[in-house]
Amino acid sequence: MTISPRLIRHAKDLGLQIIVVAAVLAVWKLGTEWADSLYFPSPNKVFAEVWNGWILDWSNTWEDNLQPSLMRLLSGFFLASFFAITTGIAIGRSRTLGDYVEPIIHFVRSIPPPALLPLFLVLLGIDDTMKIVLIATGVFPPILLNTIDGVRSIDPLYLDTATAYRISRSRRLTHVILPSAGPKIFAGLRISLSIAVILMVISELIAATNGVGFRILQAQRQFKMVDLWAGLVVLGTMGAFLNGVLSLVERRVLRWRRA
Amino acid sequence: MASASRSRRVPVKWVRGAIGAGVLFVALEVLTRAELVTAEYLPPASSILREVFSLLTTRAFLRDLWVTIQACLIGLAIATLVAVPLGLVLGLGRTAYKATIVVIEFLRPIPSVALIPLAILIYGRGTDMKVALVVFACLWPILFNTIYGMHSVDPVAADTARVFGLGRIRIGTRVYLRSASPFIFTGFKIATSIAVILAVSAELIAGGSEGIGIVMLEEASVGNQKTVYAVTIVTGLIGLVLLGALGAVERRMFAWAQAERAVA
Amino acid sequence: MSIEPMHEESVDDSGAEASGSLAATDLHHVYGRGTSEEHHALGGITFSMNKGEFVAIVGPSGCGKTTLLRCLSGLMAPTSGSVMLEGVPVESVPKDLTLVFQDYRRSLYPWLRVDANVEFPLKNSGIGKAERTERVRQALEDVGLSGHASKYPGQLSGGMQQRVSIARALAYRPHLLLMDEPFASVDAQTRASLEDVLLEVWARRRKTVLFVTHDIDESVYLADRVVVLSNAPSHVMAEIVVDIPRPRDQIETKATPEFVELRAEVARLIRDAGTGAGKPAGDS
Repeated sequence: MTISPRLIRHAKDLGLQIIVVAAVLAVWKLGTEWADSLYFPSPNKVFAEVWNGWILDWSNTWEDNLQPSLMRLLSGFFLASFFAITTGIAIGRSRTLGDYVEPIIHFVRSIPPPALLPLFLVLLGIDDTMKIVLIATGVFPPILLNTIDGVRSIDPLYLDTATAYRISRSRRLTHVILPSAGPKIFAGLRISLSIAVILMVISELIAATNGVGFRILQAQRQFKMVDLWAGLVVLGTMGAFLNGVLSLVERRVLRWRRA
Repeated sequence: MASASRSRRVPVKWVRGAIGAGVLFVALEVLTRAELVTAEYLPPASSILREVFSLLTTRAFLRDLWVTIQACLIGLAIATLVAVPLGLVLGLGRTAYKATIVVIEFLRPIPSVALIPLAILIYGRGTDMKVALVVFACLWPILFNTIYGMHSVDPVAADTARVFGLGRIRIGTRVYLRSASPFIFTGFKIATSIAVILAVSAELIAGGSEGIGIVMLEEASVGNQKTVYAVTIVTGLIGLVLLGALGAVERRMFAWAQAERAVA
Repeated sequence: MSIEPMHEESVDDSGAEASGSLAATDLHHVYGRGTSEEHHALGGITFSMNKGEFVAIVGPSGCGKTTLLRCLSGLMAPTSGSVMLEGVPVESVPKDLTLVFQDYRRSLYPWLRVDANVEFPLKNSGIGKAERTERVRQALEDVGLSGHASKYPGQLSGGMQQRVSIARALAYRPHLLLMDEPFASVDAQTRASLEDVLLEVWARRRKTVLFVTHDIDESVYLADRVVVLSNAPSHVMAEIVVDIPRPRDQIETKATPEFVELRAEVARLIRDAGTGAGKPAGDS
């Protein structure tokens, strides 16, 4: 048995990744030591702060920063996903309905999501409801538009087959239309997740007393640059983690695509 | 038969779209006029619309609008000038490409808006800060798409050019740049949305004296809902105009790429 | 084995309205009526078939075979004319009928495994879990795919995918099976073996089969009767009875003088249809 070329390629890629990450860290370290800038602390200090300030103090970190942020983000994300997918299917199935509402959807989509914040601030105040509604509103259009697109581009033969076998309306929806729109829906969810993180951070930078964004803001106000960078690292890790979870779910749900 | 029904569809679609928007407008108007919703939450739709028109004819507001758009445009221009040449070079080799991907994947999870507090410390609260953020955030999508486009260049086209004795630089511009241009444009389109998001966010977080985000915050703080609604609608109009214009450019300039993709 | 499909069908064997009998009367269909692209696809098609019969429909390309099948199955309403299945007018797709499409890649659901694809239509009709499993097992065995039940369609070759869609139709146990050029997009080798799989299953399960094809050899080899359509707007030009004994064999049957003679006759009819020399043949 010889080692497959694919395995060699994967090993090479992994090696390259390690080298690149190491290079980035090295440039960061040497660069900051050389420049001795106020704003760019060395990675040693930053990761030490992540370890001491966030991980060793986990229970406080979780309660004051991570949990509030995740709660806002996930509530808004799931709320929007549910409504966007259901209405997206309805609009995707009916040309007529689509004709009536699509211009409105396209208009709402072209509002840059953070621009909604002042309005929601006036209407809903500064508590969590506002943040959740903001996140949900911001991530709604991409999921909706992708769902509509996915439902519209379903192969007509899939539907003919369902008709030929007298498949009931509800099963046609759950077993034919939804899975065939699945890849597009997940594309929308992925875009939405990054928008959700953006909106979570902004809302916490402007109107919050806890959360990861708030901790970053506090560090900035007290001019604690190491803390600020540690906050960025944590935020990045959180984003990567959420993305990873979504990818896992996608791979599981859409595993037939790799067949 | 399909095309016949489609050619008849277009006007129907427009009429229905107009009806949909009209119904929404009337519904919102009735909602407030009948006092089912207080004007504190939703001013009458007609008054919001009048406010949009009056804003768009007010010098002071147009100036704020321009400050924001200016930051976006400068940032986009710098990002493009840096990212496209860099992408063209990095896109020539596999290893450089993969290394760049790793760096991008490494940086991507950090939402650019989280850098706003840092940018405020370094660049202050003015246009410089916004431009710096826009450049940083827009660099990645343009760079990534340029590299991606370079990899989609048909090797046969490059070989053909070489066979005909075109020099290195001319191959670079004639074959690679041209083949990659639809991808670069896609990156630019994504970057445009990101630029507006960052400029507005930066204004909301940093405060300052000028910019559309500042107008919104100020009006919100004095409880002037009507104007906040109107400015929000204006941001949507800007987005619509920008995306519409870019879409039109794309259809005109890259119609050949669309055709190729449709065949493949 | 607990279920014997031959019994269930031999119960209502009596009368003219036997299960699986189909009658089409004066079917017309016009696409895009009143537009510049008006197309008269069906120009008054009349024919009928009896229970247990294997009928093939052939015709020049573009003669509206697929349109005809869509009208017969109830997927589409014809502009005028009537379709009766077992004496009942067909308005939507009837319970006792189903279709096998040409494009197996797009008619199997890629997100369902092979067994789930076959079982999918059965879950609708209140059949118990045990019987569903048994039907799926038997149908997959009939088409020789027993070992592939838990694969995704994307993991199978084209010929195997088409066998899955035949198995799905078999497990559904329709009285009438309509097939729209089911073997047109597989290679010649696979095609011959699929034809034999179909004949074997048909002999065992005694379905009524209406098989649309543009392949003359295939129509004569498979069918009891070949219905030849004219150019669009199409009508029935001729019906040719194929009295070649069964079981048939790909090599031996195709070498017999009867086969060669019938094939030539059908080919002549289609050629004449193509040149417009054909005249309407009144249904017997």
